[in-house]
Amino acid sequence: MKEKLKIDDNYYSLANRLLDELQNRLSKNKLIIGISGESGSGKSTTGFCLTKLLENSSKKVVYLQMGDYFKLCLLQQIIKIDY
Amino acid sequence: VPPATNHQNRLLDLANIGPQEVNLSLLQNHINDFLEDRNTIGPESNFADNTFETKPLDFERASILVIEGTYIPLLSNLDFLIFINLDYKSSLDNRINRGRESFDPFVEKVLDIEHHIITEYKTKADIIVDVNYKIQALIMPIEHSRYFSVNIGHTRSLTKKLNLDYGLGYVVFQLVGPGNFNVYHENTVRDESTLIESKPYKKNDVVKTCQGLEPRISMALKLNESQSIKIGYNQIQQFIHLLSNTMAISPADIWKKSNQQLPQQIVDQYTIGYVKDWNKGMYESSIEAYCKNNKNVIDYVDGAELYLNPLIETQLLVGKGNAYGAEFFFKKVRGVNLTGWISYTYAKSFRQVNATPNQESANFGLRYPSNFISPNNFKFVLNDRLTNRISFNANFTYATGRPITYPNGRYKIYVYNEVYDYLNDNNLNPRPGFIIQSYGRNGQTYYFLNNSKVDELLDGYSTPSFSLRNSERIPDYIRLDLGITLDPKPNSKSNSSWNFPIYNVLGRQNVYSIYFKSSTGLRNQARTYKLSILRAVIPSLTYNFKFQ
Repeated sequence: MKEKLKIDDNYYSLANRLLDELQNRLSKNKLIIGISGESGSGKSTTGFCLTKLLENSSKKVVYLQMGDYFKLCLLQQIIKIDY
Repeated sequence: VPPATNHQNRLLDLANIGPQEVNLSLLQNHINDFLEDRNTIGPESNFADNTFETKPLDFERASILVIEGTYIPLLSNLDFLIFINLDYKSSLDNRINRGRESFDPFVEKVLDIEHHIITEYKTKADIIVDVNYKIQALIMPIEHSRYFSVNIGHTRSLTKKLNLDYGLGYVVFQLVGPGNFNVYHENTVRDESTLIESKPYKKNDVVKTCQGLEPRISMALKLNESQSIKIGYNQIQQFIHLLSNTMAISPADIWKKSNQQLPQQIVDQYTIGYVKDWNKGMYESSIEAYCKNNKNVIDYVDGAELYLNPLIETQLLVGKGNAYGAEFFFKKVRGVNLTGWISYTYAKSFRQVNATPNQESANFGLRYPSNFISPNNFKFVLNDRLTNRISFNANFTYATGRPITYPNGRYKIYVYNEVYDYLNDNNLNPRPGFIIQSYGRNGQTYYFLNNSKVDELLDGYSTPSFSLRNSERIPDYIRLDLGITLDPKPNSKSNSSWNFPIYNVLGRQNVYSIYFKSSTGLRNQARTYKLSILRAVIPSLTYNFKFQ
């Protein structure tokens, strides 16, 4: 998802603490970490910072955002076709 | 679709808000691709110009996949879930800084709907991050305590037929540090706003001391060789409380020790029983009745959140309870072929939680059935040796379903003025007095809410209403198990047997719990779910053998 993020230091220190919590899982061959919360709660920023820290520790990380996966609901698809 | 288009979709119909507006199956496919080292192409939206592109997803070399999104907890195969516990009202500043959405009442409505959908996801989280970016405890802290008890007792025979047993115990319980213990304002209802502090205690510092006496007395009177009567009374102090909202013991149950807010539970129990042997001990029968009075029983506020709640005291209520019942038991102890027993228990148990300065009442302060009480309980066990080698056994259980609180209706909330306009527009005459803006009662003047005040509440939404607490019951529990055992031939050297039991022959889908869930997150659409465990007929075959 391409957007400008304003990152304050709180997020990097949070990501650091999350990294501590994840330490004993990082040796797993394939690890999937989910970040959930309400809109505006800081999911994107936390995910971004956590990804950066993981990459800094030489991990190959892929970062996916649910915001890229919005679809038209069935009702809207029908309306669109009608138009 | 790109973000602005998605916003347009939401404007068309609020019902579009929820997991259904996200292509979760595609996201799940991408998770599976990651697990199987398969590179693929993924979507990418651009907020600035509301466009939609694609990007390569290089899963083959990746060892970590980070996924963020509101509905992420619905996906499978997540190893670790972080939940950021900041609701849309608290996150207003964040959203203004980010400038992603346009700020209008509609957006706030969308966020309110999302809020109700995802609140339940919190329980799936491995880590919860609070509003100050701090990680909340993953495991509720271990509580330390000391327990001392002194007991004296004496048994004596008053006559040849009358035995007396009596005693007295004294117990002391101390909740001690290390740890942080919540302190609330005195004489106010416990909630987040009345929390003063989470006060730290050092190792072995006493947080709370509870103590009490445990007297007991029982008497047994032997009427003759085959009949006897026994009566008893005892008082028990209990300092550990089980917090659970399911019938079966589960790993999610919480055991909470008495603390500043939770006094010890005190139980007075009275029992009387009559036992009779028949036909020189071939049959045995008994009737036992009991009555219990409980002080300081723990119950929960409506919609309590018990799991990983650091302010768990705010979810608990202290009340009183009473219970009584009788058990009828008949057993064929000995017999050539047929043995077994049959029992019936009738039991009642109630609770009452009144309002106090520290808590609100439950069920309007009215008495209600306890969470686990099953009034009628019937059990039947039979073993029949059909031949020298074949024996048959049956096991039947019937129990009334446990009490439950059901939603039984729904209120639609309207703005007073809108209703008034509607009545006028449709030539309907408002009720006499409907035109008034205020009314007086007990010397107080009460005002109807105006438009703006109601808008702040739940304008346009409906809200469920519930039956009185535990006034309904889940379906009855009925189960029949049958089994046949084939023993070795009498003269055989083998010491092995075959066993063929069938569990739940009737195939009943016995319900352990019923719960209601909003299927779309919208508050006017709820579905009923029944939780059944081992709901099918389960035959099995066992071969037993013994080494000589």
